Amino acid sequence: MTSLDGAHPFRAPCSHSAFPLMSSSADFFLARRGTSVPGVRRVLTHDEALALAKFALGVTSKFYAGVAVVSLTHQVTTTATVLPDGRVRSHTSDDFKFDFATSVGNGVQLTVDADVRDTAALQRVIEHANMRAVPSPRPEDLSPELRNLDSMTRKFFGPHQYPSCTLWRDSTADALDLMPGQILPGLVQQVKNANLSSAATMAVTGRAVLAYSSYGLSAWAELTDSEISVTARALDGTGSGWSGHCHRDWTKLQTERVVHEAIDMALRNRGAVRFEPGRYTAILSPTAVGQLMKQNAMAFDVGKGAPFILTMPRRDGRTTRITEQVADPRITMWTDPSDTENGIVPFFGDGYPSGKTTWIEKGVLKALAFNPGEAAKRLVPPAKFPFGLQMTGGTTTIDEMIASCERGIYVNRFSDIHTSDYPSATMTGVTRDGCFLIKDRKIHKPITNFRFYESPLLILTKILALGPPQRASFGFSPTKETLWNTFDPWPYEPVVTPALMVQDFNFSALSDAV
Amino acid sequence: MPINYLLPSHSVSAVPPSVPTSHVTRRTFLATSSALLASVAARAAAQPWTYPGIILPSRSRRPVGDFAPPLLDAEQLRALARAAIDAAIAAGAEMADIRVSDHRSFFTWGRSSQDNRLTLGSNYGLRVRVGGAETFLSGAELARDHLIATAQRAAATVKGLATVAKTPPRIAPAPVVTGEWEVPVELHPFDVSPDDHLYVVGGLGANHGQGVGAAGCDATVTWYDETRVVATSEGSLVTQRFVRCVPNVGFRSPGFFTDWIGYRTPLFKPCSVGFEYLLRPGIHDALHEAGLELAELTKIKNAPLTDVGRKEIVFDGYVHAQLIGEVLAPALTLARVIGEDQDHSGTSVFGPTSQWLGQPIGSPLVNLQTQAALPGIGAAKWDDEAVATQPQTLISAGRLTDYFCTRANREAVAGLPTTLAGTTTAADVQCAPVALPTEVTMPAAETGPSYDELVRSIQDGYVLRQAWWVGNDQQCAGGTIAPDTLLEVRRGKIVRRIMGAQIAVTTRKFWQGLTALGGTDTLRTEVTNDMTGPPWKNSLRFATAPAAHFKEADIVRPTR
Repeated sequence: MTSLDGAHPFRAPCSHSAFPLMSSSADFFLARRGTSVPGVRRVLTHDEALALAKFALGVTSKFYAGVAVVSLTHQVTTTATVLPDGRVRSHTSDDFKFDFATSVGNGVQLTVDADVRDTAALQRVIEHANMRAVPSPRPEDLSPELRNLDSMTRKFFGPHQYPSCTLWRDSTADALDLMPGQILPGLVQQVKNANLSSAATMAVTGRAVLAYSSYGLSAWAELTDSEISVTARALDGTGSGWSGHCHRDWTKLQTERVVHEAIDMALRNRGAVRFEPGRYTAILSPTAVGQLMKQNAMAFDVGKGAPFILTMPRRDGRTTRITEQVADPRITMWTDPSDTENGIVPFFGDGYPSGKTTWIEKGVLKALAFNPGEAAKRLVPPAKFPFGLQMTGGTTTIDEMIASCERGIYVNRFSDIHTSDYPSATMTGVTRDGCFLIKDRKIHKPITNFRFYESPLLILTKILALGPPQRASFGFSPTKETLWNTFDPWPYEPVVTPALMVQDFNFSALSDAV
Repeated sequence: MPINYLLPSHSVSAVPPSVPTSHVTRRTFLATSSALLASVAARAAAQPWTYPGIILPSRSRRPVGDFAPPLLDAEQLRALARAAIDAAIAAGAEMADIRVSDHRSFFTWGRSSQDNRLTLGSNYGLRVRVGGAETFLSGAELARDHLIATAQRAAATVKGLATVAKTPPRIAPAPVVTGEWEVPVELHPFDVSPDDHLYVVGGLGANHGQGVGAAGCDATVTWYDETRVVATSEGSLVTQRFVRCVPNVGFRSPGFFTDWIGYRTPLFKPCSVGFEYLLRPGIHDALHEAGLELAELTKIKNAPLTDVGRKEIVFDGYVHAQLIGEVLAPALTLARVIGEDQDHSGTSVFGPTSQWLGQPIGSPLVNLQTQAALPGIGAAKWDDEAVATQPQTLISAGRLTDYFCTRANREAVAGLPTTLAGTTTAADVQCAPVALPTEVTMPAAETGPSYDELVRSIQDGYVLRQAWWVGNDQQCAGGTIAPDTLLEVRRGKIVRRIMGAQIAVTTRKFWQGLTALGGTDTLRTEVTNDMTGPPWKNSLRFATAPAAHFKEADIVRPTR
């Protein structure tokens, strides 16, 4: 076993006896890193994370008796990419973020992305951060206003109950080591056989998240996820196809289907012709719908001042549209952390719980996203943004939708969606990797891409048919949430959406992009 | 630690300015565009309550660096880098390179003593190659034993992958280099106390413009201090110490969200400098004058868009730079052109290279260059493949002359100029280096017109000052711009501010229609965001450009 002190030649040795819990778990953890041992977990366990958090608070308590909050995230991700010329790349990242805030002095918030699993390093950075501490006030020294704030702080950072969630799959965690060597070769061969300019990406990840405070908060979640995405392009650059699939259990990834679909889409999409922009009936794949709904999450946000259609003050004095019919009665949208396949982390970043939320029920707006502070003011339950959401569907297949469409456009997916008009939640983007004209109830020909301007909320009011819902694969194209300029790195929270057939979709202009 | 702040007495106070802290300006978010700032906003939103201790006055005069001393020094970083490279080669790798970093950052928001934020860390990114296979491993555990084991694991992985990636290794040769380089500073920002940071940044933001109709002046400054070592199995070993300042100082007008006018002063731009940058004499008088300019802007009446279609337009330097950073520069990366990124961000309209190299893609006024010279934000002596940086011209007199490339993909295309320009960077060493420099520049016309002269040249069109965001598409074939302040101009005079419009451009045509470039006083530097992966992390990159007059852009109404 590698000793804790011997593992790092540059840092001062720490006294294990002073931190017995830390010592034992850290030694255990350090012993299995460096060389990957099959079957041994590479992501921090709950016990290990707790030990680190308690250690950090133990150091902090020497300086300050008030609230101290630790946020800890550990994520290991392996990605493999096959390039069009046959080269292969794999990436493995081991990200460890340790973030703690103490309410001392001006409250310097400290983020450490060094490896502070080494207790000596952790102790050192915390002690340095606390050197500027001013003496913490005794409760009797606080003004009534501050005592009230202290009471609120205790409430927020005190103990909470969380919905149970099962987002972790051992098989996916094992694939962090197995994937590059055992899975990738088969994928490479399939892509090479396609005789197209094909690129494929497969990624698996495991993540552990802990929020812990000196007032009793202890929120823990662990998740795995995996995804495969294939882009195939005609060698002359005149057509492009894409398909993807994601699942928390990587053994359930449908790699062969994805490769086949991408190739098929690219072959059928070659030689696309220009077609007049305008409003047409659109058949949107589950991925395309998922992209719109994911971006639309901000429309449910309350408390940041964004004048979205759902949250704008009304002339009749109501401050939101809750209880109003905002979508087709066939539409119900919800988020459920406890969902076995499509659950999400059941708390905010600081550990405050967020339970199951039904956003829209049978077309009626039921809830909006309130952060804990805003929710307390309004006496409603807090809820996270619906970046991860599920949506009801129907039974109409895409083939059946096409067979019922006299004239319309099929969209495989979109690229670079931005919100262009906040009050109406209108978005813009460009169709990508498969755009076809439907004529006389069948696919007529491939057409060049369009830029669109459309509001997902309005789409939900003009639905002609719904397909079975499925988790949308977003692939590995980076996304930006423009309003708050947050960046959404892979993996994305599950979005379960159906294919939709909608009328009067606004394809506003031709795009040169292939 | 006494500092002569050179501050006029009217502009600062010993305590943070007592302006409301509940609003963050839209421009602050959009312009700074950093995950760091976003995290502050998210925290502010998620925790509308406050900590009891936060409102206590700060009393520390210790330098920021005292709270976050470097975890590892340069010699330790070099020893670790060499150990990892040696281990990878001994384990069978044909080629390896590594980037090792010890870094700190400090963020100050002039309005709030709550949101100063200190980050420190050390991490690495190791790349190992055998044949046509490449493995990149990154992490934050900079222990010698761990790095050696990681290198061995990388070599084993890449040897396995090489059995299926049966393509020959193609790496452009680069001279072996060794040495050290650092950004010269007079006063290191980490030698300044957090309180003094707040004092100075708060002073920049304090009340300028309020007397002339602006709702407030916001100032944020983020300092980055990093020691980075790059080592290659060919024998290169370079150490660089970067000190970078990303300031965002601007005003916003009164009004409700979508009505705001954002105004940033060009007095501050991202660059590689020391704390003395914030202490230049005359800054506060200039800020006051900037507030007066905003006051003039706020007098312009708002009106809805009625006239859609193609119109002549002038972009100020910020918008032009943002469009270059989001659309034109990514389109010139070889990774997009040859399809390496096709399953990620996409491909490029400027491919294949045989079709576009040497061809006109802009008017003869258009030039695009890289810039790694001081005091630019991307100043460096070597890039992240240990290639010496040198000026590179991508577009010369409107013709495409080169692409951004790495050592690997340079060799994948025949017929390109053979000189490596040192433009491969990893904004975070835990990301694999990509062929995008930290900063690209479109030079101004030496005797070009001023911004006002450009506006006066418009007969019937628009002028755009700043943008909320600029979007592209999967091939960077076009860009969409969400205007911040779009002004309608008739016969050289601004007549109204247009609300509810968007602007769309087509990459292949738009710069062909550039009819006049502004002079050097119109140059602006804008931050853009790059999430090239894997792993996908937000990286700040920068573009500098002058104001420019374009023959036409599509003015569209998104809600119809």
